[in-house]
Amino acid sequence: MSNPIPAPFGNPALRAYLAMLRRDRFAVIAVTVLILVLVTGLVIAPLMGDAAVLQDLRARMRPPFQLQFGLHSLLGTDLLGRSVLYRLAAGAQLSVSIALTAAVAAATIGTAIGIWAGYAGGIVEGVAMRIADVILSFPTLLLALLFLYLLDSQTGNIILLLIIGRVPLYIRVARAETLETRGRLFVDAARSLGATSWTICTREIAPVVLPTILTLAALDVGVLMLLESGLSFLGLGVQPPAVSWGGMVAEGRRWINSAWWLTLFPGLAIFLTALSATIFSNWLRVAMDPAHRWRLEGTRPGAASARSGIAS
Amino acid sequence: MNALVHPSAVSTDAAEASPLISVKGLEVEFRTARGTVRAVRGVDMVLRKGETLAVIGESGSGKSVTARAILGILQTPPAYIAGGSIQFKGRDLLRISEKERRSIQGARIAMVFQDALAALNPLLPVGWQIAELFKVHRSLPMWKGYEEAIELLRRTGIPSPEERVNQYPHQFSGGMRQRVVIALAIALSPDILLADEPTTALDVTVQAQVMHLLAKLRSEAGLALLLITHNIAIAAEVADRVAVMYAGRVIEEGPTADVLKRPTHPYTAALASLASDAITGVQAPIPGSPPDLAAIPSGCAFHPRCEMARDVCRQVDPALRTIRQGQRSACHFAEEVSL
Amino acid sequence: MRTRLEGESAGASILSLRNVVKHFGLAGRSVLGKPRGALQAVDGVSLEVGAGETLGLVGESGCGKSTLARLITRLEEPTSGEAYFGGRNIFALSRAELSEYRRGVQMVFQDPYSSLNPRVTIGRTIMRAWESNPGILPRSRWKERAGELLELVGLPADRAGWYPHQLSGGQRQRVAVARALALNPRLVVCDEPVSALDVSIQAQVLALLDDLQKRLGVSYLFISHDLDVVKRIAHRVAVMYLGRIVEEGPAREVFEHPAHPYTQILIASVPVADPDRPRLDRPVIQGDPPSPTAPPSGCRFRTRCPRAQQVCSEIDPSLTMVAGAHTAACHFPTIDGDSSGRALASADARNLADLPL
Repeated sequence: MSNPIPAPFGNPALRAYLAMLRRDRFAVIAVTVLILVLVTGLVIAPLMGDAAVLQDLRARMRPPFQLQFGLHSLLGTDLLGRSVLYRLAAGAQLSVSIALTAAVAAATIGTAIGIWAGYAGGIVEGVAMRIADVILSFPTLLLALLFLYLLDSQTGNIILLLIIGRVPLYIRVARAETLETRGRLFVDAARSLGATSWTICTREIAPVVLPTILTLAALDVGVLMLLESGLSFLGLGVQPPAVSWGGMVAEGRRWINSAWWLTLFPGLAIFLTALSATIFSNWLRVAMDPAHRWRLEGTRPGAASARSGIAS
Repeated sequence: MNALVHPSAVSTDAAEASPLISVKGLEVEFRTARGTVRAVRGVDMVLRKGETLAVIGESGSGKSVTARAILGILQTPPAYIAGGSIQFKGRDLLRISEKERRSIQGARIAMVFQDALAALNPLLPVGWQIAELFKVHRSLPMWKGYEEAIELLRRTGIPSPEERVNQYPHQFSGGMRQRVVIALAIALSPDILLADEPTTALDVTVQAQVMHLLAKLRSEAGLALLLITHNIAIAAEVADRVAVMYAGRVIEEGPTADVLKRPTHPYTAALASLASDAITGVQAPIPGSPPDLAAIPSGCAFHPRCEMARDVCRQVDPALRTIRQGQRSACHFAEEVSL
Repeated sequence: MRTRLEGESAGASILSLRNVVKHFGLAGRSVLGKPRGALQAVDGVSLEVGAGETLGLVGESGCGKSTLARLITRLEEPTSGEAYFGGRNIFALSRAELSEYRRGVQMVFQDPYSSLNPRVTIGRTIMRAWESNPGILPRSRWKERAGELLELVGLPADRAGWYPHQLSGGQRQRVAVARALALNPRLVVCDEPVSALDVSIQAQVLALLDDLQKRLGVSYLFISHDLDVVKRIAHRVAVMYLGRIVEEGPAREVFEHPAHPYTQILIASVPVADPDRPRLDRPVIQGDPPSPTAPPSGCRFRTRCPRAQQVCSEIDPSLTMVAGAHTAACHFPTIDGDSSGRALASADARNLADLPL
C-alpha cells in the first residue's frame, strides 16, 4: 500500500495542503474571506490614498445600495459624507495588521517561554508561571485602561498591549503540552542518542506542540480583532483620523436606528473575519496532524496490509 | 496445595448438559468516519453449565468484542450488531429490553476485566462498589451489602478484609485489585463469568495466583467460565474446550487437548508450536501480521500468512466443519495439518 | 535455549557493572518530621555483558530492571557504583566521552506506540541519530543509510517517508531497532521490546534481533518479565528481585536447575501449554512483594520464601557460586536437588554451629 502523499523525508508539499484544503468546503470559503481581507488590508488600502477620509458634505448619510451614486456610496456614507466602503477597506489594513502582528508575536514569545519552562522546570518554570498568572489576573480592560492611559493610543502601543495580554495563554498551553510530551519515550530516545536540550526542545517537543499553538493562534487572530474593535469602541483604540472597524462601529452607534448601515457593515466585517479565522484554524489543526490527515485526504490509512505478505 | 477437580470429571458432565449460552452467527460492525469495519463476522459459540471455554486469539480477532456483545456492553455507536443471536435461558440477549438486560448484567452474567484500574471507580471505596451491586439487584441495604463485601473479599483471598473493604482501589496492588474485580464479578453468584484477559497485565507469579483463584471459585460455584486470552498456556491449564479466533471468525474449536495437540488449522498449529516448550532458539512460524479489519483478505482471511495456502484458499472462505468428534475447523485442508 | 557459550565466557566482556545503586529520595517529610526514606530501586547490582552475547535480565514489576536500563543508557544518574565500558567508568565521563559512549550503547524502548515521535517521519527519526552526533556519517549519506537500516530490519526503504501511525506495533519496533543500530553500537539495551506485541509478531521481532546479532556481532542486554521470551534469546540470564540480582548463570543452567527459591517459583509460575498435565498444581507464591522503600532485613525474599529460616532474617546473602558460572544469593540454594544449604559460603562463620540445617 503506497503512501497517498509521496514525500520521503518530509512534510507533505504545499500542493498536498492545497489538495486537503479543497476537500473541506467551509475551509475554502474561510480561506477566501481571509485572503480577501488580507489583500484588502495590505495591498488595496495603502493604494487608496486618503479616499477613506475624504469628506463630502453633499453626500452625507446616504443609505447603501443606491447604485446611482456609484461605488463611493455602495455601502452608504456617514455623517461627514465619507464612504463606508472605502473606510472598510482602510480599516482592514489597521485591523489586520494589528491582529496578525500581535498574534504572531504573542504566539512566538509565549510558546518559546512555555516550552523552556516546561522542559527546564525548577525556577524557570516557577517564574514563568507566576508572570503568566499576574498578567492573567488583570481584567483585560483594566489592563488596557492602565496601559493606554500611561502611554498614548498609538498603534504600536496597542499591539504591545495585546501581545502582553495574550502571551500568558501561550505560555500555559505550551508548558502543559511540553510537560506531557517530556515524559514520552521518544524524548528519552532522543536523549539516549545524545541530543542536547536545545535540540530536544526544537526538534522533538516543538513539532508536537506546534499544531496546538497554530490552531490557537489562528483562532486568536479573530479574538484580537474583536479585542481591538472593543478598544476602539471604547475610545481607547486607534484615534481618528486612523480608521478601524471597531472605531466605525463606535461612531455609528449613535445612529443605529436611522443610519443602520454605519454599524452593520463594519460589524459584519469583524464577524466574518473572526468566523473565518476560527474555521481556518480548525482545518489547520486536522491538516497538520499526521494521524488525522486522512479526513482531508479521502483515503483510509492503516497498517501494511497482510495481502502482500510482507513480514512486519 | 489444594487438589483441584481434575478437568475430565467436569467435562463429561458438561458434555451432557444443554448449552447455557448459544451464540449463533454473531456479526458486529463498527461504523466510523473511516468506514465500516466488521469486527465479528459470523461467530458460533456454545458454553455449557460448569464448562470452561477459552477463546484464543491475537489482536483484531474479535474475541473481546464477542464477549462484550454477550454481556451487552458494546458502545452503540460505533458498534452495531449486524446479525445473529445469543440464546441464554430461552431469551435472545440481542433482542431483550434494556431493563431485562440490566437485570442480567452483573447478576446472571458477569465480567472480569483486564484492566482493574479502569474497571473500578477510583473515587469510591471497594466495599461501596460491591455493596452497591447488592442494593441494585437484591435491594439489600448498604450495611448488609458491606457485610457481603467483606465475605467476598475473604473468599477471593484478600487478607484483613474488614479493613480493606473501606479502602480505595489505588491502595491495592495490581494482583489484589484483580481479586477485587473478581469479587465484584462473583458477588451475585452469576451463572456465567466472562474473563477478558484477566491476567495479561499482571506479573507471572501474580498471574498464577489469580488463575488459581479463578479455578477454585469456578469449581466451588459450578460457574461456567468464558476465558478470553492470547496466552495458549493459560488456556491449556484451565479450559475444557478451546475456540481459536482469527479476523472475526472462529477458525477452530474443540476439546482443549485435541485442539492443542492435534490441531486441524494451520494458525492453531503455529500458535501451539510457539507456545510449546519444544521450541529452542528463535523461530518465527507465522510471517506477516494480523489483517487490517477494514481490508480483510479475500477467501480465507489467514491465507496470506499460511504456508499451506493454495488457490482455493484465496477464493473461497472455508466454513467451520467437523473434522473429528467434537472438533471443528475452518480450513480447506484441515486433514493435512500437523504440529 | 542457546547452546553456545554454555559455562564459558563469551570472549571479552564489554560492559561491567560494579555495585550500582540507585535510590530515589522521597519528597517531603513524614508526620513526625523525619525525612521519608528512599525508594531503593537498584541496590547494589553487578553484572557483566560479553561481546556478541545476550544477557537476559528477568524480574517482575518493581524489581528495578527498567531503572537499571536507564542507568546504563545514562538517562538517570546512579546514587553510587561504577560501570565500565571501553575501559572507562561510564558514570564519570566528560561531555566528549559521553558522546562517544552513546555511540557504543543504545536502547530499544518498551512501548512501540510512544517511542517514536508521531510527528516525525520514520526516516527522519532514524536520522536524528546522526544529527545529534555530527561526524559519524556525512550528511550526504544520511538518506541512503537510513534506507539501508530500514531494509536491514525488514522494512522497505521507501517507507522512510511514513509516519509511525501508519505502521503496526511490530513494524514500529523494527524502526526502533533500526534507530538503535544507526550509530553502530556494540551493546543494545532492550527494555521489554516485545511485551506489547502479539505472540506471532513477538516471534518475528525476536528472530530479527537474533539475525542482527549474528550478522553484526552486537550484544544485547535483554530485559523482560516474560521468561518464555528470554529463554529463546538469552545466552546468560540474571534474575532480579527488589533491586538485587538473586541468581545468574548460563540460560540453560538457570532454567533447568534454578537454585534460588524465587527463580524456582518464577519458573514454576509460568503456565505450560500442555493440556495433559494435571492442572494448576504449580506452587503459588504467597502475598505481595515488599515495598522498595522498606525492604526486609537480611534476605529480601525471606518474607515470601518457603525455605526461610532464622539466618535469612539476619544475614543478607551475597551471590556465591552454585556450579561453574552459575551463582545464587541464598543461604539454602538448591544444588543438585538438595536445598539444605551450604552453610559457610556466604554467611558469617560465627553462630552457625547453632543454626538448624
